[in-house]
Amino acid sequence: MSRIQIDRLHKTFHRHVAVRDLDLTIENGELLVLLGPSGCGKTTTLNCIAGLETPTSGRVLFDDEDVTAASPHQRNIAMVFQSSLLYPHMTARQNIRTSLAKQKLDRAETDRRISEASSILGIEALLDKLPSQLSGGERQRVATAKAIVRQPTAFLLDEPLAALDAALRLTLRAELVNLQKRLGTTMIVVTHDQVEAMTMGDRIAVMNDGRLEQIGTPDEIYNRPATLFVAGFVGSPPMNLIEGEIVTQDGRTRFVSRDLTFEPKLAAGDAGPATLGIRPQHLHIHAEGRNGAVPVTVFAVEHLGRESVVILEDGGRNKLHALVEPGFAGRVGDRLHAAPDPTHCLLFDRAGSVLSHAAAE
Amino acid sequence: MRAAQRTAELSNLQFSLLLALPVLVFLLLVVAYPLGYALWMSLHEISFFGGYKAVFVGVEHFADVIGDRKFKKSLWVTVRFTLESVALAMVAGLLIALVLNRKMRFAGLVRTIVILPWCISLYGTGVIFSYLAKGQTGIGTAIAYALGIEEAVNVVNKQWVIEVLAVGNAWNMAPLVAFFLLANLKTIPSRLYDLAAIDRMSRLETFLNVTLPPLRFTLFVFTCITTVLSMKLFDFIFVLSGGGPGTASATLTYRIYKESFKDLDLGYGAAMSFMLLALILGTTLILYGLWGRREARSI
Ligand SMILES: Nc1ncnc2c1ncn2[C@@H]1O[C@H](COP(=O)(O)OP(=O)(O)OP(=O)(O)O)[C@@H](O)[C@H]1O
Ligand SMILES: [Mg+2]
Repeated sequence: MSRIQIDRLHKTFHRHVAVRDLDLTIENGELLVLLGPSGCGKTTTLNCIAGLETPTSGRVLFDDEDVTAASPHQRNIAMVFQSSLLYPHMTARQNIRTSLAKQKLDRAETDRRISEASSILGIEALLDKLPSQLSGGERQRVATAKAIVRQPTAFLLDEPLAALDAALRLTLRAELVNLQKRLGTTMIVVTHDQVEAMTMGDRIAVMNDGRLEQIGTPDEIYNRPATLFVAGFVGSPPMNLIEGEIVTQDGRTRFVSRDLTFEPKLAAGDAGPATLGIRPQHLHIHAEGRNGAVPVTVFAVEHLGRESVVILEDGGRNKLHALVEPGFAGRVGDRLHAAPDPTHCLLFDRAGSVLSHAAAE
Repeated sequence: MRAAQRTAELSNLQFSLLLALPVLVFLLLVVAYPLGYALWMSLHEISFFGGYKAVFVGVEHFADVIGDRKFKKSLWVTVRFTLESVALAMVAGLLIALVLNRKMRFAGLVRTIVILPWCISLYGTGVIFSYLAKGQTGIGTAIAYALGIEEAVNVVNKQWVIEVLAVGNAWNMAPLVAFFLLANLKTIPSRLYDLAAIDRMSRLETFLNVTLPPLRFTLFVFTCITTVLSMKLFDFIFVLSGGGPGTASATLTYRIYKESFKDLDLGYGAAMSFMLLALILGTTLILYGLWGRREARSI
């Protein structure tokens, strides 16, 4: 149990920057999700926390103690590796047992922990198999069991659920959160699945290109994205992004795009190219044209059961997503109008930083 | 019509036999014929003086070999030489492989240099080591001189000659062992070492749990190969020590050579060579039974 601080962490591999100037604090007992696209430096960050990589510069602190130079031995971290790494010549049980080898437990306690972890992950029947005899998802569950039998300073899980089917993923997600809350051990979970991030994390840290884009609660990340990247990355179907320009005229500031004019509450001086962001559930479809609506044609309709997603194409052939009632009757090629709900519009400047949080006001 | 077609076709076994036919004929000529001829010789007393004569004597040669004190001495020399050679070659091979597996500059050049001993013929190795070990030219003498001792050190003596031979033999074989082990080492994912670090394994535990397992089968195979190579080694011993001093380094191969071609007792030599064959087969079978079966199952 530990508070983990990452202080201006920088990691380069032969001039290639994997992590740049990362500042991150994970509170004691918190479950932090590291979310980001492939190659953004998530695994590298975990490796630096575990002590498997030496930072090029910057520090890692556990409970205010500088451990940057400490070996993994001294840090007492439990980790699930991305590739569900196991010792190939050991059975699942032996693999799990090696995690406990240094804990000086008696045999009964060791066995109890192993059976508890394997029942959480549903791998009791697999314990005597070799890793080569397990499927990818089974290996991943064994690797996770291997990590959670420990009582470490922190759990670092690198995409622990990536190879599982949807149903199992749903169950194990809850199991892991439940376990973490029960033990109260700091946990960092890496994922590039944003649903997983939203459901598991106390807070989510969104990374992109080695940088921290935003850290916050799932609600903050979803409803008040700080950057264009976060807005586009989090949420499914993704947020609609409409390119345009902010113009100031007659003392009034307006967002103007090809098909749309919209008047946000903005301070003056923000004129310039900008992007409007609107979530699919806040894009309303109307049959008739009206003020503040974009003329669109239906490109595809996806029925999800509880709701439907309409994919629309505007005059510039940009795709827009809108959530509609399951009874939506539109057909491909229908001409409709899409109106963003002005109270839920977000505006981002040219550099991608958010200008307004209309939704929050 | 279909049935007719089918009979015209070859079964899988027939087809594979047909494909293997040239090899089978070749093997018959180069393996079975000499082997059979040797067996025939071992059962005959062959003499050249007063005209070539071969008299059938049954298993008399075999009985004689078993009672022969010189044979027993040679058997012991072979066993000692083989044990030392194999141990040295395997340990040196493993160490070389571990060193070569490290990240270093000029790795390609270093690898080329390391494999060179294997490229030298055993005859050449014999010449090199006889220069290195004998009194007039040896490193022993050079070291003694450097230490101020004015006396030639000859390690090709009754006491140490087998060790000298084993070192030379291992020097020749170790690079091959090293390269096969290195190939195995290269297949170990480096992340496994990270896993071992997370599991807080010591260096020894990491070696035993991560590095060694993928090497074990290769270690077994090369223990067998170096055992066989050492037991049937001849040219190197012939060049370096000629079985001497006295008979101190007369291995079975050397004794077979001496009985067959120097004393011209071809039948007796042939019988002895079957003993060597039995020794080689027996040893490898025991190795397989005790060790190889387990390793073969785990891969
Ligand atoms: N050992 C290495 N040598 C060179 N470059 C590396 C090394 N490890 C990672 N990188 C580079 O650093 C960047 C970040 O890698 P990292 O593994 O942290 O990504 P990630 O966020 O975990 O991606 P993914 O979701 O695909 O696992 C990548 O561009 C990668 O190519
Ligand atoms: Mg990764």
